[in-house]
Amino acid sequence: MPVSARAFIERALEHLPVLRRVGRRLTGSAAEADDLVQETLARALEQRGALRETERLKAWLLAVQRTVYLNSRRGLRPHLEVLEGGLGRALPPEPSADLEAELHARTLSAEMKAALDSLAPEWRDTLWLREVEELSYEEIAQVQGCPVGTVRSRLARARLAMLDFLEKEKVHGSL
Amino acid sequence: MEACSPQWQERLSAWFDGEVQAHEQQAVAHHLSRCAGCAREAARYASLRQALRAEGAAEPRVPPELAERVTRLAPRPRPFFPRRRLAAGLAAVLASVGVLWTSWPSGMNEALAMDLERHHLKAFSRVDPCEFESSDPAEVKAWVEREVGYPVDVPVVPGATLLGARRCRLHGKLSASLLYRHEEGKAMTLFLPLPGSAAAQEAARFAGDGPRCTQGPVGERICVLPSGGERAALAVSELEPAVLLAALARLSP
Repeated sequence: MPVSARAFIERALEHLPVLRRVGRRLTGSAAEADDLVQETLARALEQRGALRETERLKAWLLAVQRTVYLNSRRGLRPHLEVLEGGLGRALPPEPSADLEAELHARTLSAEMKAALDSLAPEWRDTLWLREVEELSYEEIAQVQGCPVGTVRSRLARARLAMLDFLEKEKVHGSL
Repeated sequence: MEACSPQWQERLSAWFDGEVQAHEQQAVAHHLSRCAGCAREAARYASLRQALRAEGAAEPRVPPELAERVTRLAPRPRPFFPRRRLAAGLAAVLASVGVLWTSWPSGMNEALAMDLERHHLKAFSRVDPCEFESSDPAEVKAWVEREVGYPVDVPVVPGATLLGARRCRLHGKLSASLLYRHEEGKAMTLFLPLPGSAAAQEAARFAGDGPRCTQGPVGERICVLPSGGERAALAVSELEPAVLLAALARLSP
């Protein structure tokens, strides 16, 4: 018997930050990520009976999010939802008290962003899910719908490519 | 400078993640003690992890508005009654006025029931639930006809305020939905699928000869009013079925 809708949403709320982070990486925009997260949780709520291992909720939600996103990209659903005004708008970033630290963070972010963007999308997503979201190989395989061996090889290649990119940037930057 | 060989790269990466078997772990640990290239590579992995986690931590916090939108997806808790007794009582009351009530699973097409509940809950999880806002039935009617492509009846429902309309997809087909709020603040959506569309056919088949209500898989109440042939209107809300049927009855036959 599936958990009640309210209990399910309460548990899913714990995973809102990870869904939003991954959603932002998928869509490239805060407003679209918020719509994606809402659509994902609406779909997950309907299908919660299919979740067999409740301790794997995070990976399962990410898998649902990936499917919802891919379906929207494939045109099965022309738009996630068009939100004009209201809740879908992105919030401006909070100002930092330490300007120097902020500038450093921005530089780091731009460099890391370029390095991440240089990777094949599957490698990039695998690396992000492992390093930032701290998913196990099995959970990543569930999210990406691929064998664990593929996750293992994607991670090794992504790390190598990312480190090589950063190394080259560092050399060029110092010239 | 000694480089880590490609055959060790994948093993080392998995070892770094703690994703290797015990025997492989020993082999990697042994290899690391002898291979400066691999030891250096493992250190680079650690720096990369640190940088990526810093990147993740720098992401903006979840806005409270998003949490609210998600929270509104779940129906509000209802007063507690023994479920079976409540369902039986409700069924008896509705049967006395010629309405068939069934608990979920009720025989209603599951995809249709889910679409109905999802559209209703998602719309009302927003500050502005409507795509087109107006309490004037004539204006709403004109908007629906222009944007959805077929004429609909927009009823005035006693005790409820017409908020406006939204487009939605039922069984993949563009459909009209009208949004209302009752005096006690409770939300209600009337779905008016195109006559003859798969959703209208499905709803008419579920209802049979007369009005029929059910509880959807998420917990909202869904009432269907067939109007002959392959035509049907549907109402979704947490309100009592009698209220939903009263709203549907305001539609022109």
